[in-house]
Amino acid sequence: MIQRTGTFLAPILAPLVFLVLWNFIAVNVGNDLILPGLDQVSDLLLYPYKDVISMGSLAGNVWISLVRVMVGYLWAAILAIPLGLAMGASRKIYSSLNLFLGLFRPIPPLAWVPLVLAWFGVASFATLLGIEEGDWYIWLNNLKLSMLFIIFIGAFYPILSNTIYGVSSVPKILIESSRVLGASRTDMFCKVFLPAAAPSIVTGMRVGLGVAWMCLVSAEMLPGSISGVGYLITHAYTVARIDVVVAGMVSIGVVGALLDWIFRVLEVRYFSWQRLSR
Amino acid sequence: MTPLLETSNLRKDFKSDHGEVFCALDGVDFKVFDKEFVCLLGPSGCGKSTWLRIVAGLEVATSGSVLYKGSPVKGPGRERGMVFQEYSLLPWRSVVENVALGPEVHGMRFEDRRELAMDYLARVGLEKFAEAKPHELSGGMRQRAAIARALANDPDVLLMDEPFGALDAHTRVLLQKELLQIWEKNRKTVVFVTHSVDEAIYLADRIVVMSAHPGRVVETIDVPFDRPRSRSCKGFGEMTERVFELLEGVQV
Ligand SMILES: Nc1ncnc2c1ncn2[C@@H]1O[C@H](COP(=O)(O)OP(=O)(O)OP(=O)(O)O)[C@@H](O)[C@H]1O
Ligand SMILES: [Mg+2]
Repeated sequence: MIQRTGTFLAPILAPLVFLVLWNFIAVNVGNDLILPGLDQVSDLLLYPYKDVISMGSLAGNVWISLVRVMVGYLWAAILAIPLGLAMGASRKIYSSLNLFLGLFRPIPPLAWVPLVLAWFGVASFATLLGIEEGDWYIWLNNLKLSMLFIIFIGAFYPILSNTIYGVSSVPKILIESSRVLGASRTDMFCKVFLPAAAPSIVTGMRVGLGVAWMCLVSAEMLPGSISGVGYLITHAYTVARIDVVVAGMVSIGVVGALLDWIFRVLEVRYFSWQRLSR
Repeated sequence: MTPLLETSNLRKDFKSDHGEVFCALDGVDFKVFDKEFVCLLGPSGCGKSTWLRIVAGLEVATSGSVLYKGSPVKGPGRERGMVFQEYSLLPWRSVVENVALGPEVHGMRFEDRRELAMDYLARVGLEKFAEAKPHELSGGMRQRAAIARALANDPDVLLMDEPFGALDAHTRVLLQKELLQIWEKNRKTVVFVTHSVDEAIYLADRIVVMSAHPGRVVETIDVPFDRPRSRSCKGFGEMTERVFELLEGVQV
């Protein structure tokens, strides 16, 4: 019985200590501009639909950010997975592209900002589609091409590297034992390489989503941005609302952890063979 | 009679990373006839796996010819099935899905190939584990499943590379017996690689003895004992003795 409550409490012990410590320091410092109290931040988090600093609600801004990340991330996945499969399966394609792609890999997503602004400016999906008013305009105008590009770059490389690794590290014995059955190239790809690489691809997608989410704040600091949780944080800072800054940070942390958790559940559920066959 | 499989003057060189050439097989002449059970016996490193992989089409010979039913081997094919030395089942597929893989890539319908796979699993005594994943099986069970997978693809010749090499002595003897029972029912040509003298004499119609460095065929021995065989039959001990002496001479 004691042991069971123990295993139940273990994961929430550290956060609990952290919260107590935070509140203790905040009360003693007594300055909202340095560290807001637990009560102020939790008020914001408990009523996420209330308007904050006339920028719309916290939940609304998180939602806008989530849509942005998803759109940028989706493009990254759509391009990186097939490219990774091709590079992993063919030595020729790999050697002709790896150096080129490797040159761009070390460039931090943030370093792309000036160039991206020069290319896209404040153009958005609304500009692309030629929509200039109405509800759709408001939504599509939130999807600035420059932001999406920054998120795209962040997610692209983890997905690409993991996909390449997954395809190129299929054990030789599995390849040969399927070939001697008379499997065609297509069969080999669909029935051996793809399922063998699937766990790595999903890991890449999980890591990529994490990086994309981290690129969010820098993306939303770009000119032309008027919404999103990243923008909310920077704007709250300029109007000296540190409690909003912290509430925004907490939202980013919670949503990011949630997305990661969803992928982990998928990994455990569908790819347990990989862990167990070691 | 034309042999089912024939390699003549087969040579295989491997190049190391530093460019040195290592000769693994040097002029191997060797015929396998239809419905024959041949054991390839030799010390470790004499090129048994290499010969088998060339015949299977997984490796290309440096020179010499490899003929299957009189025409050159150009790659892997359904008619030449193989059971590997290492565990080789696809880890994400259940046992029955693994066994059904051959028929699947040849376009057999789902129900038919499942039924076929179950039939072969029953022959190797694994029908209860049809839905298990390979990691849930013991080493012996995995090799049985690998044999079922090779058989379910209906090859003409079965190339077996020390399939029982990693098993304990008891399981090994058990699987040898099972293999012979399956083979008696449905005679296929079998080339079975081993470095166990006892295994070779127990299983084979004919034993091909190889030497190492470079790999060559030194002698071919006919095994005259009746089937089903017993290790205590007359002459088994003497033959074991003789083959051991032969191998000792080869190894120096
Ligand atoms: N891919 C390779 N590259 C370089 N050398 C190789 C390669 N494959 C095999 N060899 C060499 O060729 C020789 C024969 O190897 P092979 O695997 O055919 O031996 P074997 O008779 O099957 O041995 P064992 O009974 O231990 O399995 C060995 O000396 C080995 O070092
Ligand atoms: Mg070998």
